[in-house]
Amino acid sequence: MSSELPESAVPPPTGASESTSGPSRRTFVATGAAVGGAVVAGGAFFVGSGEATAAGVAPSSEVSLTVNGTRRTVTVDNRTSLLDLLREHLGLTGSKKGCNAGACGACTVLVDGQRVNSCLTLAVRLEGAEVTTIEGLAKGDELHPLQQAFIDEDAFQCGYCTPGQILSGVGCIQEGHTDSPEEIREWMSGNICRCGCYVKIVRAVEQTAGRK
Amino acid sequence: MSPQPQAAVGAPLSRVDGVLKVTGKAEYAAEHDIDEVVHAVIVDASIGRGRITSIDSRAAEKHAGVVRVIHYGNAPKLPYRDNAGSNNPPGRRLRVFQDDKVLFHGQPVAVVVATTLEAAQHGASLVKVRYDAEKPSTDLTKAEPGEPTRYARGDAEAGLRSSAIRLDLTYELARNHHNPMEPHATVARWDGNRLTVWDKTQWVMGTHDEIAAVFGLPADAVRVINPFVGGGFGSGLRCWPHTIVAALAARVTRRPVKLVLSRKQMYFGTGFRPSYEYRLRLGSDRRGRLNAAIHDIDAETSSYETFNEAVMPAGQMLYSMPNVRQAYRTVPLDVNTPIWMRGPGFASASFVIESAMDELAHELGIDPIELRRRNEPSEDESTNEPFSTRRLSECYTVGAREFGWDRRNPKPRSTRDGDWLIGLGMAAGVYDPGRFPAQARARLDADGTAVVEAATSDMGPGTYTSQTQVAADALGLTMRTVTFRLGDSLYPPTSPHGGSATMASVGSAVVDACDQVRQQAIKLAVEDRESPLYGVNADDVVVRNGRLHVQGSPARGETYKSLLARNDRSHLEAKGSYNGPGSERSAYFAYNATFAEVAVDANLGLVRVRRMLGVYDAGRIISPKLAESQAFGGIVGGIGTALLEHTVTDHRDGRIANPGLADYLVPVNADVPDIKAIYLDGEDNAGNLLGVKGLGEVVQVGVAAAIGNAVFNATGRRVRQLPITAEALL
Amino acid sequence: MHPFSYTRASDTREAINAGRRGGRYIAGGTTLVDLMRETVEHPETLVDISRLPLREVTATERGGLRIGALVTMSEAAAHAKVRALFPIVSEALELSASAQLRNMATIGGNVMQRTRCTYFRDVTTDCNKREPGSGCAALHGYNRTHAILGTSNDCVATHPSDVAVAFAALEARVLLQGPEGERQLRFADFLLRPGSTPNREQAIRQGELITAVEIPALPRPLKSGYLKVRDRQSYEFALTSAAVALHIRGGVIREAKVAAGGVATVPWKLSAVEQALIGERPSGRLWAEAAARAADGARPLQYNRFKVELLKRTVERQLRIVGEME
Repeated sequence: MSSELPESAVPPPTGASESTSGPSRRTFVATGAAVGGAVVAGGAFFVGSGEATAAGVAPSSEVSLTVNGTRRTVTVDNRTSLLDLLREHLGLTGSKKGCNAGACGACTVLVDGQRVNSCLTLAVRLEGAEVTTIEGLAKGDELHPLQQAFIDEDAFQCGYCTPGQILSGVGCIQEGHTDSPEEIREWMSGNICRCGCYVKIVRAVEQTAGRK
Repeated sequence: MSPQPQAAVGAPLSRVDGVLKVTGKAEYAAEHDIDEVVHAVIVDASIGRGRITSIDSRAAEKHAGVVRVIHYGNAPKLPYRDNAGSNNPPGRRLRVFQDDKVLFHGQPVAVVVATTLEAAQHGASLVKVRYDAEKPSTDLTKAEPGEPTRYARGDAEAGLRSSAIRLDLTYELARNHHNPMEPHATVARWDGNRLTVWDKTQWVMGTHDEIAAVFGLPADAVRVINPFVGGGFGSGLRCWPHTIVAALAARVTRRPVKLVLSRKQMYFGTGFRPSYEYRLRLGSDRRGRLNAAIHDIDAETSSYETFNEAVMPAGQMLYSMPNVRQAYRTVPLDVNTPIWMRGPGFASASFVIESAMDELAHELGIDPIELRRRNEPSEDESTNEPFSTRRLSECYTVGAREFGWDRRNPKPRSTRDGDWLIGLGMAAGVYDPGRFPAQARARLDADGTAVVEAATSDMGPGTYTSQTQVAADALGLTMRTVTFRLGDSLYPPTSPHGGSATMASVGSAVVDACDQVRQQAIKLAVEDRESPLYGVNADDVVVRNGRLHVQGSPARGETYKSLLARNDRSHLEAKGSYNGPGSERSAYFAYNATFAEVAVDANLGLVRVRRMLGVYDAGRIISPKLAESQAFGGIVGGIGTALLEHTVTDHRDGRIANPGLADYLVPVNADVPDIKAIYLDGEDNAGNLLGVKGLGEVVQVGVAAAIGNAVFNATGRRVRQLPITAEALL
Repeated sequence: MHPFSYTRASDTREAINAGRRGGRYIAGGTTLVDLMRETVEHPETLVDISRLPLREVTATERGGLRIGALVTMSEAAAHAKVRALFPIVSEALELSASAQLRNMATIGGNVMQRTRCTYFRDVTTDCNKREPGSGCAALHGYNRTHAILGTSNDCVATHPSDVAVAFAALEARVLLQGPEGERQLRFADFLLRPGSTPNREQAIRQGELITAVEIPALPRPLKSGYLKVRDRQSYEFALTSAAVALHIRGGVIREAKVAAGGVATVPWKLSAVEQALIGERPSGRLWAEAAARAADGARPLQYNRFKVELLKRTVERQLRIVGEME
């Protein structure tokens, strides 16, 4: 690590050695501690009394659910979506956040065997549920046939929608909506692929369904 | 290409990062596990122009978990050193939290940092910002344009006047947003005075340089990392304000900060393909020989930066004609700054030019392909340079044959399938692929494996795979024994991952580095008395599967492994470079002919694409399987532009009226039935040893026009606005 | 998202008690969670009703059908009884949303679905539905997807449901249970036009819970179908839609049930079209004449004028398709 001060006017973030130029750390604290209105540079700023108080504590709940075969008991903020639980708390970042509004399908996982949008699923509601994410699809080093088919068909480019596509494809196959490419296209339309791999996604699903 | 045998290049291989991507283990920008990270959420301006009069963050600060609310009233002043690089357009870039001005709807006005994502999001909704609002100017057709960029040859006015056939056509192209599936995201961590940023970018070096400039840091104090990019299409070609916000928030809070844009924020937090109003006047003789064209082009830019793109070249070089005049004006608006989007400039111009060519063909009663052939130039008439290669005519021939063009009835509205009118259309496409300086490093280890590194990106085309292919052949190794690394500003620098430049540029540097390493090994062998290759002319030695041998006598040789072991070398290493095309004097373009069959329910105004074909003159194809995927992607993108995509601005206050994937429509699976892509065999060695032309951009150029022309053939209705929706067809 | 407390109701009584105290019911959550995230909705308490025993699909006497409120859209669409008795319901469901959303969303929730109006969804704009008295930003804003029928000067937001259009056509009833017992409302009475109170969307009382939707018996044979017109082929709300059910006997239309979607503030029953059909013999001319009435009373806005013509054509097309079914 460099011991030199930056050329910047910005104060270094470590408190011990304050830069002599520019506003010091104390400036922030002082600004942050001003209660009520303060007029700075022509604007009015109403700021709180420093660090957050416990007043606004958000309700949380304890939930036990099974994720990829492992039973987990977690305390979640009631507002936490299954997607955020997976990504931010359980370290399972394979499920993707594309829109956080149920409009893209990147977050698709299986809950009790059904494909759903994990972004619109509140984690607090999943007591006793079984969740399967992309991390739980392969058996050890052996890929799920649909995962392998995605590689073989080159059914992805950037890869970001891919976990959702694959979980959705698993659901589509289980549901039996794979009788024709046309049927697969319709039943896979809840997963947007901006790289435009649809033709190959359909092939991968068709191939995997046919093998069953 | 190097004298090495080609085993990997040209082979239809699967992606080397495929397993990571299908198992969810590829880590995108927001997914790196950084200890003690806190979450940041931006508060967006809810006016289109004006100034902030007050910010009340009390309620937000009271919410449990909120660490800090930062805005211009308390943010440190940032140096914002000039930085002409990093793809910053001319102008004065947006400076986050440095003053009270609001330049566009959605501009960041504050950021809330909290220990949980939920708290940060809620905190952001609790910050009350008051404004002194002015009416923004956001309508391209009602604002004052800037000074035009001009081009002229011959006398276009006179040429037009003297033309037997004259068309005067105005087209309107909607604003498009890239909408990569991965939202833009940044994780920023300060370690003392050093800053590490994990950022969704197509150019780690550009982001690196911009961050150093904004914070006034020495270059070696900043590191930008990005091994996986969840799509880009151009949206990652600049360092956007939120990246600075994240680094600033990390600095102020002394915590690593993660900031992910919401899908909505992607519509004003990153750029877009600007909307256009494009008037084209075209003159030809009765046999379809073009005589003159006048292009009046207006496009959006922001009030604070002037964004330009290559919307003029296609009108200068695609077809032969003596008289051309162009005026390209950007119109400053109270919007955020646009950025290049797939096929930038060319895709927009091609919709206009290729639609107009179709109109002319119809007017003259000439087949659209024949009309294009009659105007095929023998050189680039804008520079009088020869074409390095131009096989557009062959694209027509192959495409017409493969698509069944002869089954097209030239009379519109003549083919019916139940309630559907069927139409066929085609268009030509052209793109000017980039060739930019790049460096790469190759290291061959004693165990016979190699690592190759360059600070490029892979937003989806398959840089990992294709560069590994190139490196494997140059080193004489198998794909499995070569690892290509990218996405780290500590690696040798490259230019942006965009503009179809990556293979020609980075690939050339990779070949150079690998050639050097191979030659070092060969030199070591032929000078080593204990080597079976001792005394052999170095030029006669090739390497295959990690084994050096005399060309034509595979028995005489030895492996890298034994050579390095015997010589007590832990590794061999070289840095390669590519300096651009140099003094190469030829017109280097990639081409396509794109064909579309559409079904139009004219009664209900529905257009459905039935099948599409692209035929490409894109030079050597390094990775056919991946190149096919790219072509499919370009066509799907073009379907979006043609039929669905339209960012709508509410001009009353400048807000985006459809900022989400349920309202800004992109194609879904059911919109895309059948696509075929054909790459013509061949190579183009203009300024690059690999013989490539780049293909990621050209595959989207012309697609929208082919669809629009098919709609005309189906219905007899010419729609000059994109996207083509029910309103225009009822 | 605002903080909220969460309870899971184990039976209907418990749910209604919690609802009476101001709790907001959540079933599939596909609309509610989305709107909570946009801070359009900010309930203090969520009452999870997903485990209540409201998941039955039952045939009623004489050939009607009752679909429990918590039957998911995908379960309802696939259900043998639904497919046999009212395939139009399956069709409308399967043309809605995506497979994933249909696995989550319920029939009761679908009926309660809230509008997709961009201004309603953006809390920094004026919206009488969200904030009574603030104004309607959509009236003179970007209103391509908005309603041309059933609107008022205070609200022009479209009801987004597909299956509700089929329900409206079939004159389904909404079965409710509340603190004061059970009651039924006709679909047309359950969903409210905005008038001057666009914030009131359903004739539902505090604590009341939808327990089922019931479709009354209709004379057989019944030909029916749902047509949805939209920019893209799938995963999009309707620009226009038409639900049509016809009972034709002796070459004469004896019963006609027609409603339109995507064009109105509530699923739009087309009584004038129905009247024009009943007693007539099917013909191309009849379809056109009847459909010409579909947009009666339409009040188009700047960006949705095309819907007037599109609606008529959608209805005409679907009358023809259903009328000519074997």
